Amino acid sequence: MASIAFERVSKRFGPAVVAAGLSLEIADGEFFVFLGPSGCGKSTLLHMLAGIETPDEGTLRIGGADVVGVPPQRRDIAMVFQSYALYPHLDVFENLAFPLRNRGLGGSALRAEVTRMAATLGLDGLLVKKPGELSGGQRQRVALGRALIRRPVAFLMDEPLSNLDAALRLEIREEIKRVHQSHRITTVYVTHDQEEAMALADRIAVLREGRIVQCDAPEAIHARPADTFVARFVGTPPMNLVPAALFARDAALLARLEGRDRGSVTVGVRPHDLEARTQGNGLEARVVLLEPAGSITWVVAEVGGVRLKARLAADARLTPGGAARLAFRAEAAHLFDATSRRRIER
Amino acid sequence: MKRLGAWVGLAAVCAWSLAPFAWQLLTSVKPAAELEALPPLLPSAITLAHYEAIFAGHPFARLLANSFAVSALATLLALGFGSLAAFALAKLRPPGRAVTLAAVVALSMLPPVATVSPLFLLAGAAGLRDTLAGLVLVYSGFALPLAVWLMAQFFRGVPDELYIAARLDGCSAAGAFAKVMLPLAAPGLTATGLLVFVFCWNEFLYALTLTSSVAARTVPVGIALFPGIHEVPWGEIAAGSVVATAPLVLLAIAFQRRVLAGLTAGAVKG
Amino acid sequence: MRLRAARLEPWVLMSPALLLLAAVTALPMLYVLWLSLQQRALFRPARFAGLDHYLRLAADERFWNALGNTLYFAAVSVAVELALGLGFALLLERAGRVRALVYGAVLVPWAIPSVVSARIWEWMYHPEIGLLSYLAGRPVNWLGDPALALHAAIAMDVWKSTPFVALLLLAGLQGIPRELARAAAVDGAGAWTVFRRITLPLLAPVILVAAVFRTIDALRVFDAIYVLTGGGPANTTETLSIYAYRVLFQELDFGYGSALAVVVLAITGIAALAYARLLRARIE
Repeated sequence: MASIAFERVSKRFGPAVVAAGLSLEIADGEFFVFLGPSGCGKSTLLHMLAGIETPDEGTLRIGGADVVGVPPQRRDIAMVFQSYALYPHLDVFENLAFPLRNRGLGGSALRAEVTRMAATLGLDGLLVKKPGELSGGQRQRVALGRALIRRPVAFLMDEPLSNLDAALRLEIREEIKRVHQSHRITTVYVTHDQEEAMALADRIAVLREGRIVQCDAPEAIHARPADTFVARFVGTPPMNLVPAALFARDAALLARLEGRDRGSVTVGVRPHDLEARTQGNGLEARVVLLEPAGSITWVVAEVGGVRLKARLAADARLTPGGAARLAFRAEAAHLFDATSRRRIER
Repeated sequence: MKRLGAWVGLAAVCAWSLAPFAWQLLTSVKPAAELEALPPLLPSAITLAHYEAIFAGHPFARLLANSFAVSALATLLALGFGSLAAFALAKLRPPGRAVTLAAVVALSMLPPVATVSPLFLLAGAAGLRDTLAGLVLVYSGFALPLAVWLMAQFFRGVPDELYIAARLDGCSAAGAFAKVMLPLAAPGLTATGLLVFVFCWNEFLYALTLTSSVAARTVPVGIALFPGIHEVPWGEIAAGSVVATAPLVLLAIAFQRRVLAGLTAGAVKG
Repeated sequence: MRLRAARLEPWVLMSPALLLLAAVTALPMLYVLWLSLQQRALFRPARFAGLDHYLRLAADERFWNALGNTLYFAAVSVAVELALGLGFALLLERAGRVRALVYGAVLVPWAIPSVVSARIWEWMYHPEIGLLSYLAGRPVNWLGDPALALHAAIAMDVWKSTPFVALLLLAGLQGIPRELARAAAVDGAGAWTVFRRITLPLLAPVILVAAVFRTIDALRVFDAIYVLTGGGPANTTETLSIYAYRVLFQELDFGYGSALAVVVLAITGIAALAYARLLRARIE
């Protein structure tokens, strides 16, 4: 069990900036998620922790000790990959046993460890099979087992769920959460899927072009996104953002929606917080289309040239092409500066 | 109709590829008297006299042994050094790897005649002239670019994650190479080994200049130096040709898929 | 400190290969350059000769003849091999069930040592009792007629090398997605148009690779022609490599011979450089 620290780490790959003066601390036992769009170099952060890549500048600490220069095989870290990375030429037993054999363990002690790990993960009947004969879910379990078996001080996970279909994804996600809760191993998890991040993380760092835009607990990121990028990236469906101008009247601060790009602020309202009604208070809008989604129906409507997504009110009757009223509570609105895109606190 | 055309075309391609060798095979079993006869036709009887002659009158068996020893040893050396280097280039990705690989490949385009005179002098100075060891060193050196290039392609086909996983599971770079990368690149080793072996077996210029006696002479040189003084022993030359070629043809046909994989590796995207 | 060790690791693994390459290739290359500037002939005192050999070379008619032969050989054989190879590849693509048989047959010329190939063709080219004279209906002095000899050598090279080109092109063809041809057919394109507008452009990179491989091999050709004709008749089949070899090992003039060898090296070097540049784009 160990804490992990990045101290002013910088790294580039040719023209791409993977990290620019990145500094952060991950507590011992924490489940920490790096969230960012595909291809922004999140995997490289993990590779640096693993010792496969070295930072151009800065220090990495695992358990307080500077690890830059320590070869991978001595870092006591385990990694789980998107593509499972099981040794195709070895059967399940040998895959699980591989790290232990490298430590010099053998014979009955080895067998005991492997069978115990296999039992924990429900792999008992599969020990003699090769990875090629297993299903995706089984392979990911073997990968987990191989990582767990040597009780590493930290876990690195590189989008392990991306290759699984939707149902399996949820199943393995639960498995990962369960494993973390029982073993409490420090985990650094990388993904572009914000739903995954929200479900698993103790804390999330939203990354963009090598910089941390926001680092906070999932609820905080959802409730108080630091800028428009985070606001749109986290939360499904994405937050509605509309340019607006602020003005004062009657000792209250009001924002008038300007539409298009004019205005000094951007107002953000999540579709969940925006209600579409047939009549009453609210913005005049024209319905474009309706999206039934189980218990909620989404309404895509146009206001002053801007498309917004809203939740259909329980008693509303709306048709495409018809009129609607969009209403929201003032507290549910987010304000962002139009130029810097950063959050404005009220 | 189109199918018939394709079949005819394929038959023609096969005939075209096999005819000259088939003709040589026929010649090798034709009785000596019929060789000079016109028109050149099928033999009336099969004779093995020419084959006996090359093993009795000429030290062909020795030449075969030399060729085999030199080719096999050079292949092992080239594979060993070559796959280590290819692994380092493909997986460890040192800076300057593109230039290094390009330089290595460029070396394979050397005309042998360019280095034959210095190698002749150097081999003499090192006492390696007319020795199998000398040939093995030279051949493995010249096969290295081919070996490195091909193995690099095959290593690139093994996912990086497997290497990373092996390192994190406790292997050093060399350990990961031996326990994970090499077993997974085994088909590549076979393909590369075959191509290198064929390359070494066929080599002529260095064998010609660096050997002077049967002690180290290889089969291609033996085939080239065949003619008698007064008359050319076509039958024996034919027999020698067949014997010299048979191992390679059998290897090529038996390991067809590997050979094709090797020949096209890297040349086509993927 | 540990960091530096990790950075050195790849070079340590590469060192055996690089050292062997240096010893057998790079070092001799430097040596031959040095030799080309020396006077090192039998029965003549060894001394520094500067650019004498290169000047002699420029005025040497036999050199220009050899250069011409080499370039002609390369141009014609590569052109024919590409055209024929493409045809073969298109046929091979249709092989279907007999694939293994056909591929095996096509590999035979490749597997035959070039020296053996030369002997096979020498036998077929025999003016009186050779198979080709018989098929031609009368004795033809294939290898003895100055007008024919180089072409006879080209034919031999074409036979031996076309399979390799065909297999390369076949791999390229197999890499072209079938949907493209089908989409074109749906759009009303005939077979020839599909070939010209879709297949050929997509195959262009592989054709280029095959062309470069074959050109470099043709420029440095030695084995087969040396055994087939020895460079004659009247030096009509004497390529640069053969000329250099003869000066080196028959006239025993290591100085001038090395200069000739350096020229061969330069010519193939230029072609290799072009290929290396192509290669760099593909590695990254």
